[in-house]
Amino acid sequence: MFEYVMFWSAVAGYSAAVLLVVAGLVFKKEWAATWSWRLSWVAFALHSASIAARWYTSGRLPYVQEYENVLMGTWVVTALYLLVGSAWQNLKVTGVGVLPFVLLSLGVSTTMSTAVAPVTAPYRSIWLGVHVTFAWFTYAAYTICAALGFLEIMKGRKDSARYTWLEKVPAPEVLRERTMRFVGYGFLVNGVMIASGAIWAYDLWGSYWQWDPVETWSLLTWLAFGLYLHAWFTLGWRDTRLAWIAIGALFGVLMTFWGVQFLPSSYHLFRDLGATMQMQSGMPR
Amino acid sequence: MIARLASPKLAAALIGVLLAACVVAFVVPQQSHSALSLYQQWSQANPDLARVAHAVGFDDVFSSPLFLVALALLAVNLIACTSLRVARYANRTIVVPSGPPASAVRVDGVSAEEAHRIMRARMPLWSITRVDEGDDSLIFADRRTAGFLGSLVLHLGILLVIVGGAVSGVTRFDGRMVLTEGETLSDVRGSYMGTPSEPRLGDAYGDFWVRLDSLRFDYEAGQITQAHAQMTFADDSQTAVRQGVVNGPARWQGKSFLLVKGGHAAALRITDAGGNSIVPDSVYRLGNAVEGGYEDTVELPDGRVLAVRSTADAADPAAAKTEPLALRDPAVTLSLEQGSVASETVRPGQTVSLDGVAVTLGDVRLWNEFAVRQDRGIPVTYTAFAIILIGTVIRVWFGKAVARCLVQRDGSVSSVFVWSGDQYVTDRIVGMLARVPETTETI
Repeated sequence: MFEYVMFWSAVAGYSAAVLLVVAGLVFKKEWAATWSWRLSWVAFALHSASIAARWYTSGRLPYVQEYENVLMGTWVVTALYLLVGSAWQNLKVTGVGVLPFVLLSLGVSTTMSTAVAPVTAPYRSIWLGVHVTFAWFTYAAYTICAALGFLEIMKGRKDSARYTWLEKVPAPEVLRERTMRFVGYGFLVNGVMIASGAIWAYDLWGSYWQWDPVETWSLLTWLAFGLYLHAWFTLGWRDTRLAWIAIGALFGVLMTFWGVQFLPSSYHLFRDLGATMQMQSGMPR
Repeated sequence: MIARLASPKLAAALIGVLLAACVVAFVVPQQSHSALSLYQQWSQANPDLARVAHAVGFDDVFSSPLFLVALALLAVNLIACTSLRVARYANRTIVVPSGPPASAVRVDGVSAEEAHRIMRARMPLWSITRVDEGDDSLIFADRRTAGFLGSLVLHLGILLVIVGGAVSGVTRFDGRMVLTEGETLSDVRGSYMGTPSEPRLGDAYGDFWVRLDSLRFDYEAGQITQAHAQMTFADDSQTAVRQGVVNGPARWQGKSFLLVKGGHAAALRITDAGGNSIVPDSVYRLGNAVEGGYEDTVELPDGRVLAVRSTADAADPAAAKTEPLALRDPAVTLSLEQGSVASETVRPGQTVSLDGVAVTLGDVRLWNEFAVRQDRGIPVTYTAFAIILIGTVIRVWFGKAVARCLVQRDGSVSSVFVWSGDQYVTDRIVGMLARVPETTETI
């Protein structure tokens, strides 16, 4: 019950924060943006409490079910957003991209089973823990990248002076440099995520790579951000093309986490992960 | 020729081909998915689509010649590109420019010798080179070495991943072995139910045998939370006991025995009314899962069929239903079909007579199907991934940065003009060189 109350209070907090950050931008109200930031902290605290409650109830870190993955993943995304906003005050406006993403993800998670379930055999692996943890940080970094890319594009427009909400946003080159840092960070943790997932898969399915849709989209996303780094370091790109790559690559993240869940063709689905270990079927004759 | 092979356009085209293959594989289940037979499920549900996909090779794109050729060409492209970059880097020349650019920051009162000394002392990760030309000097600060090294390491890692994949492709073993508790099998082809993949290089089978000593399943809320298999392996020189669990297979001679699925087996002795065995005593694996247990049939010499249905817990059918592999009070129900069906339930050690046939149940035990895998490319691939990550860290951390300091002398006064592509680097060098902040100005 406590978890339920905390979860919905957090959703209410994020909803208000989204409304205020958008209102702050559209109606050029500074107070709305300020309150959005404060409410984000409140919602984050409630979000943390709901995770703590679930951890207490289940006796383990919530990482097993799809609902739990969203709960933890959005928590990491929000934490990174709050960290970025605290470190660079003028980047609080990235909330206009990050907060709706968090809110929508939490909204989708409510359509899934929220009952606490035991940790089934396939999930009992330290490598899965590493894999999932790094996935959360990867998606958080890439979400921030996309938000920074969006700001860079807006700030770089010729008519950007029309948008008063962009006044406090740093110059495009500063945003670009920070995006590159987050892409570098995301690329690294994404690499660890893929590697640890491969190790786990080898022990569970006997193959470290199966070209499964989840794996394939994960690889494509990694390559897209690799392209970003290649364009920055080797080709010397320093323009909005990089921002478009950062935004476009977020599509890969969404496909990896959400898109493939609607496909019938993956053995890697979170909804029935480890289905090979049913231990109920008969023996082929 | 090398320049053509190293062309970024060729790389882009090849990556495009690989991406297209990935997209196809995303839409069409691949036959290479050995874990869940997804392809079979999909092809049964969409037979027409499956026929078309098979005809054009879309159901196995990652083994198609086009994909493998593109992958090989990409490896060649990477090697050529890296070689060219190494050559260019080694042959680069540093030229003293005629004047500083407009973005340069000027610091007065610092000689070339002093600037060179300060930069060498305070920029340890940089390569600092001084070139004199007439009255002017250029101090060239280059942090490309570390970044370049990172890039090389990164590309080496990517090449190694391709090598690892190739090694996996030619050395991979994939077989299915079913073992009942107490059963021993040798590692030969005949012991496997099927071997979808055998190595094209190296031996497929080892000179060893394996026995499943025991099997146990843990349940929580009706779900299997862990399976434990104790196995004994032996070859000419040694015998060893290994424990295997889901996510932690037992391993021997490079082969991993992964727990896949299980069921019941019944040790039966079937005799006629005189006590003579009418079929050899055997442990029968019951292959069909039914509510609360497993069932199968045994054909008798006279053509009659003995149906055997097991339960994990005869005293508590509800428990047997939720935890069918936890053998608490195992029993089997035997039915002999001959016009009417006679049926009796027996526990281990008990004998039942069914229309002239006596059946003794020795015990009920568990069987398990193991996915047996061997992949000699694994160490290469894992090492390659570690190298990629290390290369990325070096590349991102020590990103390419070049700074130039043009020192111009006007009589006894010398001025340093500092510029680079990175404002942070420029500011840092200016900060080092500027003894008095007021002496700096942007020109």
